[in-house]
Amino acid sequence: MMGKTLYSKVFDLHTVSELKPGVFQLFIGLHLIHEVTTPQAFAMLEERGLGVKYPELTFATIDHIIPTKHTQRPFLDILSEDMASELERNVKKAGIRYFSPQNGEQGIVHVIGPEQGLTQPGITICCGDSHTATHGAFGAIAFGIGTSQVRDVLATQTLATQKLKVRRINVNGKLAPGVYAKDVILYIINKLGANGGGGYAYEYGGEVFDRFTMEERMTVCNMSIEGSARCGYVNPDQITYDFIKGRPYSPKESEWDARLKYWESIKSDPDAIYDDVVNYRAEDIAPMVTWGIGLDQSISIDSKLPANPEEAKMNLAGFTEAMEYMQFQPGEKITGKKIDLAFLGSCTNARVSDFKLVAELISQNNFKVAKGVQALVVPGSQKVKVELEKLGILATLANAGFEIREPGCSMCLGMNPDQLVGDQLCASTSNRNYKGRMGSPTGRTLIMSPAMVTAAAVTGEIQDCRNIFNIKN
Amino acid sequence: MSSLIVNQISGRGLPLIGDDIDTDRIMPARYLKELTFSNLGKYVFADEIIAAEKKGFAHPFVAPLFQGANFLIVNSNFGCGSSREHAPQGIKRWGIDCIIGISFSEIFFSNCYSIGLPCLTVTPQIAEEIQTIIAAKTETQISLDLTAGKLIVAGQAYPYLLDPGLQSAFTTGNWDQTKGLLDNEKLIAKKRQELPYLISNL
Repeated sequence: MMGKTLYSKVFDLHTVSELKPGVFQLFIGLHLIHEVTTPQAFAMLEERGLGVKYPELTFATIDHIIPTKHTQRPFLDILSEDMASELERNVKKAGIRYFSPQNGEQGIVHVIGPEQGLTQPGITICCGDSHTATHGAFGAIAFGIGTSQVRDVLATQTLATQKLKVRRINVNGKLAPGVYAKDVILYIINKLGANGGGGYAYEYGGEVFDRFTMEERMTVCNMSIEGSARCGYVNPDQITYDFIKGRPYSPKESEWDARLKYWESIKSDPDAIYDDVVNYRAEDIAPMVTWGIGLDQSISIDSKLPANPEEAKMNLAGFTEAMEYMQFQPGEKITGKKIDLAFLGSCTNARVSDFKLVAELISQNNFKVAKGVQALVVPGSQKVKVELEKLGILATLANAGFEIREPGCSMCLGMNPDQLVGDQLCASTSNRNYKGRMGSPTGRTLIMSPAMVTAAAVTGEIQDCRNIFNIKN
Repeated sequence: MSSLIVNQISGRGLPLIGDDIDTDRIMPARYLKELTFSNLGKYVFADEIIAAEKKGFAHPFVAPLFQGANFLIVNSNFGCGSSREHAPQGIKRWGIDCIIGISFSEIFFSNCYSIGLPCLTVTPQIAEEIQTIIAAKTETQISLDLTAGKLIVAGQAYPYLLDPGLQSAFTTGNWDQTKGLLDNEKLIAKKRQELPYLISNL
């Protein structure tokens, strides 16, 4: 018998039927919902006289539209208030568990799944959000869906989907100091292209992933979709199991051994057959920064912007459009570019370890946020915020001039009050640099690691974090 | 409930040139705050339209010559990024019945399928050729017969790819998946029993 991948094992185990050749009905073990992509789904159910099939398998929170500053209800923005009330009405009616601000459990949906112990190996997870692949860090098959499919999952706990191919991505060796999980995924996307993952699930592995913490694995899996892979995952191991233990929804002590046996059984077999395998060396990766309007438009901080479309592996029209939008010149240096904002947050990098690193970096030399720069710290969840407070990290950051906000998606997507104005330039730990992404149709976003954003925040310009914070071998 | 048959479509085309056109561009996030999809046709490419105006030209979605077009012809990785169904909902409500392109983001493709909007895959040469033909002559007639597997532009047939399963779902009016999924209610319950784990809010 040929070995199987985790993707294949978990997919097969959850297949209810083959609806038509190549289209499978897949059972969804965990459904996460938020306020933006669900009101129409609930409305469609109502129109059709359908209820929520297994409300105990769906969990809700509010993250996209929630303000991070003026959080009292009703929200100042009427449409946002409507969205929040609609979600509350729907979950109450259906009997869906809601992680709410009032209970201190609210947060970005991809932060609270793992935090609550809901995200576990070997389960299928869906959410009306493309960054659902974050949960793949635990060895789950997790992917984003649209609102009609949210309707289907609510109504049947299943959806119709095709089976993906699997590409194994190995990163072996040792990352140099100053190079982080965010740099690894930006490097992978740069190499494979923003559309390189079409039709694939990405299985990340190798020595670098074996050593990564769960938070680092989540950062990488989170951005799988930026490489067009709908789903990305890491095989579970002791690091995974240690993270899960003792959380509100993790298996109880009495169930633990049986569940562990299951988790071990769904790991990719050593002789698993992959549709594609790529290998990278950790030593080749330097701190990365995006310069354009797509996630593969990136360079390592020690190199210059591409001088021409060939160097950027783009066509002329796309290259010109990106350079013009960003107001950059081909071949110039990116270091020294003045920033207006620094954003530390989003489902990619808003966990305790991200902010802990920032606090450590600025503490070593009493760094302050540069004059004229607004630097936002937006914890991924209320629990993350409480933990940061306990560790004294928030005080350190506030003293250094960072603005501490309440949890939410914040600047990442321009749906709440945290938005760029005009053509402001933002150094960001989020996941997308698309045109207009941060709410201003001409706003500009540079995606990088928390250490790189911190370097930008304290110097007021794009700089190599290794130089600013004296990070050496 | 029965859904509409999508089989024969004819009309005119709208060329939208560019790779990696993401769903934030198609439907900027600020328009996602409405509780229904009904107004979304008005917001498609809202920011791109303003940006084009500032540069002194009309974005294809507002150019008078392309008003009334119902085939959208795009390049590669169309609809990448956010999973927002608001993007295809907006395109459909604007008046597009079929999208032809080199490649589509999977979530976007699947969202289009879920709302009865076929996305046909063609070679880069064909996509560019059709875009050029339409740009030169906006009244060019396009017709599609999914059952016959025929796409005809200006009298010439072009090969395209569409998964046979999806093709038959469109032509038999079964692209709305909820009913087919509900039919397997017993199998769903059985699967739930069989799974070696249980996540529950209880």
